Amino acid sequence: MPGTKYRPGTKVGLTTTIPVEIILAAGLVPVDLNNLFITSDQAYRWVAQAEEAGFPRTVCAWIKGIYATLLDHPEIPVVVAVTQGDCSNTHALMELLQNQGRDLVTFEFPFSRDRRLLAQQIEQLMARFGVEWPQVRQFQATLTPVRQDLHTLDRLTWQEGVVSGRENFQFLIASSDFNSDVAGFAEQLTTFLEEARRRPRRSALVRLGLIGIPPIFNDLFEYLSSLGAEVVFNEIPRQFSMPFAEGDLVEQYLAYTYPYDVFARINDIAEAIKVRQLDGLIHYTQNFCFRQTQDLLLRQRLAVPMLTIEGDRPTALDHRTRMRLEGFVDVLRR
Amino acid sequence: MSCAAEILTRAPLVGLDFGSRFVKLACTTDMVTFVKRKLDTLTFYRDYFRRTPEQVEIDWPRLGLEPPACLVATGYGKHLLQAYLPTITEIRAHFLGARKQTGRNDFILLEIGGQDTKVLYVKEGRVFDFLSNDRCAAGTGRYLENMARFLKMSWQEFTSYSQEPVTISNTCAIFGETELIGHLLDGVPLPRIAAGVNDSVARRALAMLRRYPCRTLVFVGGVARNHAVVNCLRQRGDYQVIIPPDPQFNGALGCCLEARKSMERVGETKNFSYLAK
Repeated sequence: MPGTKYRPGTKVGLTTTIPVEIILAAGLVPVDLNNLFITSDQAYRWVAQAEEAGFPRTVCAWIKGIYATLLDHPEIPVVVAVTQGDCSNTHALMELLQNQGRDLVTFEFPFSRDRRLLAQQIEQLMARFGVEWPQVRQFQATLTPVRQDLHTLDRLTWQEGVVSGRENFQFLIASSDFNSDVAGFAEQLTTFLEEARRRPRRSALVRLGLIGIPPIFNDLFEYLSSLGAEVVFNEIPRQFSMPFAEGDLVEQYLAYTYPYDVFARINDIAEAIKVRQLDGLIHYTQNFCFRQTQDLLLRQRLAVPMLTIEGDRPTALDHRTRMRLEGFVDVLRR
Repeated sequence: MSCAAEILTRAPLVGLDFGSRFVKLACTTDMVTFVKRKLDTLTFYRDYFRRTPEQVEIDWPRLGLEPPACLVATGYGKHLLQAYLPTITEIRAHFLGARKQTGRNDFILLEIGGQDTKVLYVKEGRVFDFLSNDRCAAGTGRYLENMARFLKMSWQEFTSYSQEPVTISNTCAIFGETELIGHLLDGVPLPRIAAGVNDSVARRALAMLRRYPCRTLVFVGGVARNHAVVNCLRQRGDYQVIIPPDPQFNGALGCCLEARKSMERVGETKNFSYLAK
């Protein structure tokens, strides 16, 4: 089988969340390239470096960051790229990486959310990495308690008020690759939950939902906390944790809202507004990202105050965005 | 007589809107009549204002105002003041000011100032949502000033042109001049170019306003004094446009209302660290 050419422990880069169970079942190490990029203290420099290499200014900084980060990580010989359901810029990114001799595997979330097409994609990925259904199902079962712990952590955020919005975000977003170490991640999560349960319950003055792709700003949560607001719903990171992980793997990734049309996301957000008693939403949009356009539909369909903010590079919040956030929280508080 | 009322009779309340282009002050003792002052921001900062690590000083006699019992500030420069004075967000200040000036509870509030455009959707007497422009300053007061200067027109003349506007497509305040030169070289008459600039500002605002299902528009900020922009909003947007009596002092008036509220909250007045000269 073609997948057998990768030695166990080989690092596999991911451009976004994919059925990670397959990579793990193959004995390989998933590395979410977004997380690798944004957690680096070189993040700003990677973007500039990609521009120096010729990337246009009008391409999203996440793509540029992933490209330059990979240049610095030759130990990642293979990349799984989501070429449908995430970002069309990934196509060109893949071509550049291919040109550098990196192994590329593509994965497509069918826009139609067609079960048969998704199953086909999942099986293609399995064939590529040389794994069969029994191994994948076994790994899915191994991840179940970890995912359940993540759902507990989420509940401790919005229901109990003992987990901050930042902590919630960090743990949930890491579930795209489990920080490349499932056992270590599970242990860290267990320890964290024990500690969090002992904390006194906090009640945030203003309860916010953060929707849209993960923000590139590095101080958003801290700034909101300083204003007396707490994020109690991190839309996309929560999706990464598979909140509807029931049934088989195909069902799990069919229920996942992020890669399909915006309407399933809208239903998910509307439910959160009600259940989590959100006072308002912050819609994060990335400069030059097609998802900015979805703001129109989100505003039309979600009858709750919404502030749309836009980020470009991995920096702290700019003065104007701080002013807007301050105004928004103030409006919701009174 | 309550404690707050007693203070009100002694010294005035002042609202200060520290904008990017002008500093606006509104001063009142009875919340009915207001004394107003408007100064160029740089002039205010240089000649009337002094900040030390411990306090801020404002030259009240030079401003022709009495030292206030309470001062609340807002605006772009409020960061200079917030360690010393109570401050409120621009959103809150304009909301309070517009309600005070119009007596309305349901409207869209458009504020176009020196470098910001804000739109507040006010429903049942509370701010339901708001928008503001992002990084680009095109379509704001400073942009209009620069364009008028470029066309060598007085503000009065510039704001009188709204007929047959030439289409201004450039959204950048810096490169806007390049586009104007292009129209000049094509022989477009100056009034049409001025009308085009005014029209472009209204169109940018309308793109924000159309998100909200309300036909009543309260327009404040310095640009509300631009008749051409107002005409265009009326015609293109089919809005009932209300310009309150003091559009440019709207934020400062909102601060006065907040100052009164502060005075009514016993104890808060002790925290003021500013000194009057």
